Amino acid sequence: MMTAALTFLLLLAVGVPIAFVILGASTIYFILNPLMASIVAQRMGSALESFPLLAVPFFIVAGAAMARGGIARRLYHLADGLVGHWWGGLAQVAVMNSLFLGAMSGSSNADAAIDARTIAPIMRERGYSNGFASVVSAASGAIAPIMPPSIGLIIYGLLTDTSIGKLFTAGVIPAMLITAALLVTVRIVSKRRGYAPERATRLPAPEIAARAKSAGWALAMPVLLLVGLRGGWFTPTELGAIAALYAFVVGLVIYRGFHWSETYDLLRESARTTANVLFIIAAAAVFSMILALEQAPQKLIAVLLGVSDNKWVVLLVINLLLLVLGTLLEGLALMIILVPVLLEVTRTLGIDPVHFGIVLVFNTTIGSITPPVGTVLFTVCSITKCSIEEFTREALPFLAALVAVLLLLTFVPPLVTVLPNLLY
Amino acid sequence: AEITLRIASVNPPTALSVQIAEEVAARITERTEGRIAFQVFPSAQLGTTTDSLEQASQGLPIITFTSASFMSQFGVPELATVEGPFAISGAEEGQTLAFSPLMQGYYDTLAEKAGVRVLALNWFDGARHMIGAAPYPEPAALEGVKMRVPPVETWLNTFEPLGVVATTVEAAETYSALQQGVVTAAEAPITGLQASKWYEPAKNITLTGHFNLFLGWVTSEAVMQSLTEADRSILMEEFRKGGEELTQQSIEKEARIKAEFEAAGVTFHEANLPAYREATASFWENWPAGTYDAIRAAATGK
Amino acid sequence: MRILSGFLTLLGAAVPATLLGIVLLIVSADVFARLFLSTSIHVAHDLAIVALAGVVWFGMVDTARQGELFGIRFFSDRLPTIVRYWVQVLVHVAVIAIAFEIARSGISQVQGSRFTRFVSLGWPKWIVSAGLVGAMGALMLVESQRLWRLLTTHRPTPLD
Ligand code: NA
Ligand code: NA
Repeated sequence: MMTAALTFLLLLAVGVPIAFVILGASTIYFILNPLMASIVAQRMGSALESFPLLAVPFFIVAGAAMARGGIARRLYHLADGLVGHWWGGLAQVAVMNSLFLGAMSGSSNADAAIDARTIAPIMRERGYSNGFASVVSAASGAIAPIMPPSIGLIIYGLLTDTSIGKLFTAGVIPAMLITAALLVTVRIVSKRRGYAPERATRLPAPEIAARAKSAGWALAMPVLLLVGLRGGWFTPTELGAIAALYAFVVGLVIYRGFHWSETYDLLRESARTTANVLFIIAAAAVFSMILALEQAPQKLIAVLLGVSDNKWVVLLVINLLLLVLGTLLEGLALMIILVPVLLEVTRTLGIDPVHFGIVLVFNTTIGSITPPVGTVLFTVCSITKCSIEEFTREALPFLAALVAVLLLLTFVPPLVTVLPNLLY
Repeated sequence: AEITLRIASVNPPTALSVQIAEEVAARITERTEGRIAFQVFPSAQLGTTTDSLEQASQGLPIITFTSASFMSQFGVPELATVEGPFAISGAEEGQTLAFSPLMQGYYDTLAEKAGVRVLALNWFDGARHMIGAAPYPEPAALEGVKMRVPPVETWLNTFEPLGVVATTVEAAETYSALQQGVVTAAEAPITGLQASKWYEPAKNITLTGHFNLFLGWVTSEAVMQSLTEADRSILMEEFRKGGEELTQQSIEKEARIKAEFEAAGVTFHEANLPAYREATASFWENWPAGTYDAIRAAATGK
Repeated sequence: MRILSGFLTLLGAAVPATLLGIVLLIVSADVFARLFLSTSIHVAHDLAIVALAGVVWFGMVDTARQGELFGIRFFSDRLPTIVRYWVQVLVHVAVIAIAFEIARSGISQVQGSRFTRFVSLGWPKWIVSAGLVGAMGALMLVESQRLWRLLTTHRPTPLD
């Protein structure tokens, strides 16, 4: 295990691509602890055998089609009319749309992919830095797994035997808090950077109406998707496919933003982004199997929990440990390995599993944005071509805001539990 | 320990099957005086069931949780028939059938063809019932109903003749799917419903008991052969006993869960079983004549 | 060289783009079949999952060709030019070696998983590993090409 960990750090430091860092370390581990020659390929293949994972390529294609076809431009043109007189108006829109998208999708990767493809280029045009645009896209993705529906909360519910309905309800207030914290951060950073308002006051109503009219088909898209989801036409994963198809057809036939011969380029580009992100997820599955075999995170937790038997100290320790582990490991995998151990702890200390679930899922979501290893970070950067270093610099205030909300949710449980206790 | 066996399951650590497996493991370690040790890996930490089965097949010391129809793809298609609609009347017949010469024959073929040895396939977690937005007391009520089923032959060959729109939705998404109405019905054992919480969005359970899954544990035949005769029988014995315990506890739990569900606003409905039996009889046309009778004979010990 | 480049474009770009299109169409078709025809396309699920694996494996080839694979250059960028050059060489060699090991693992998986199938398609599961082997092979070619270019054209002198 030590050799594998050292290999990991060495390969990472010299600049080997992340997926191959993970696979290289895993290969070394299995050379030293032989199991079966086919184990790496087997685990990589079966890691991709998951239907909800398809949401990622779907939203990547949807974003590409929205960007090329003109839907994105019309939507943000309208949004600009509404909030262009705010500091960092476009970035504010990017945060707000994620609350909306989060109510439809359960995955932060999918949401971030849409933003990176649609609003980030427009932000760059208006003078925002690429790093800032990328970070706003990624950080606002953190809303999706907390705002129901959420794959992460469903998996937590199954792992811990907790009511999924309760978990879903419990996510609503925290999702609002995250949104608010991000809006405030955007405002502060924009002021400091001088991302000035586009104009002194809001556009006059007739002009807004004209922009809304030209965005008719684009505005119909989210409405149609939300109605379709609530009406039971499709699952959250299938919604991604319908969104992609809609954006494609409207962009091609109605807005004529691109020619059908561009389809190949659009798909080719999207396939590259998909591969870049999901190959890392496949590699991470191999590594998390090694962690499970070694029972490494469990041992770590056991040591750290020896520190105290005070509920609040333990919660703080768990959060800090998860944040640190989250910089290197994939969130969902981390949760699956750790939940059984953590549940034991929370049970003895009398921590509400619904409260703990929201804290845990949010924590691992933050991990997907933190460098060096984070799937949301990779999704966004592979679309915006932002370097990990630039992303990291720009991410600091946003990470601080997200961690502040995390601690708030950790130490003020009623913020999480009041709604479910009221409704159930 | 002389050998450490990894117990792998895709079920969470809260599942009864995982908890009883842990007890079984402890008893085996004790009875073999520490010669056989165990490590338990729930929640698919070591990969999918298929992954574990392939590992067992290649001689790795792994024990995995699976079912008869899942094992049927490993060279013994007949194993799928014992899970056919109304093949057995309940867990008691299941216990007999699981250790009948008929099934033992399948197990031996499996060991020979795939290198996988069945420890015990008698971990019955209760008959599967239908849950949905409405009751389905008669098969006719299912016409056009969007029901969540896995895309497995046994399910398709049973449910399509009933006129349902058999819809594939991943387990993790079924809760939302029921909530939003992508599917209006699903099917599962009562104990499974308690874990999956599908009764929160769907409030009607029709007690059809259409399937009884032969769940249980399998391991590598090569590993089994490397053990002494005595240790081997301790292993088999304890896993069989574990299955009996799980079956018993599931039955006891069902009554309690039903009360709990009713308190949560769920209504239970009786089903016209003879009508269901007739409506699903075409399942057996996919198999050689006499298959059903052979299963019945083995299950009733005649 | 032209043949090799054409082959890599076909395998790394045309194949994943086509598969991605198939995934989108089959999943959408399943939704429409359910909504309007009261029927479900059972193979949609499995087909989408198999095709996704193809998108990911082969898409990696094109990603590597475009130099878009993620890595941390923070530390290596701070090295002296000549050291950085050899570190880059080392990185390509490491990727080739690791890809080779994955391909070997994939070959044993193809040989070992004799029975498992995608249930609704009836296709054997080893095709996913076979795809991985093919993709890793092509990726090794891409990385070798890049390594060759690095060694023959960009070699810095100690005076740089
Ligand atoms: Na956003
Ligand atoms: Na969500």
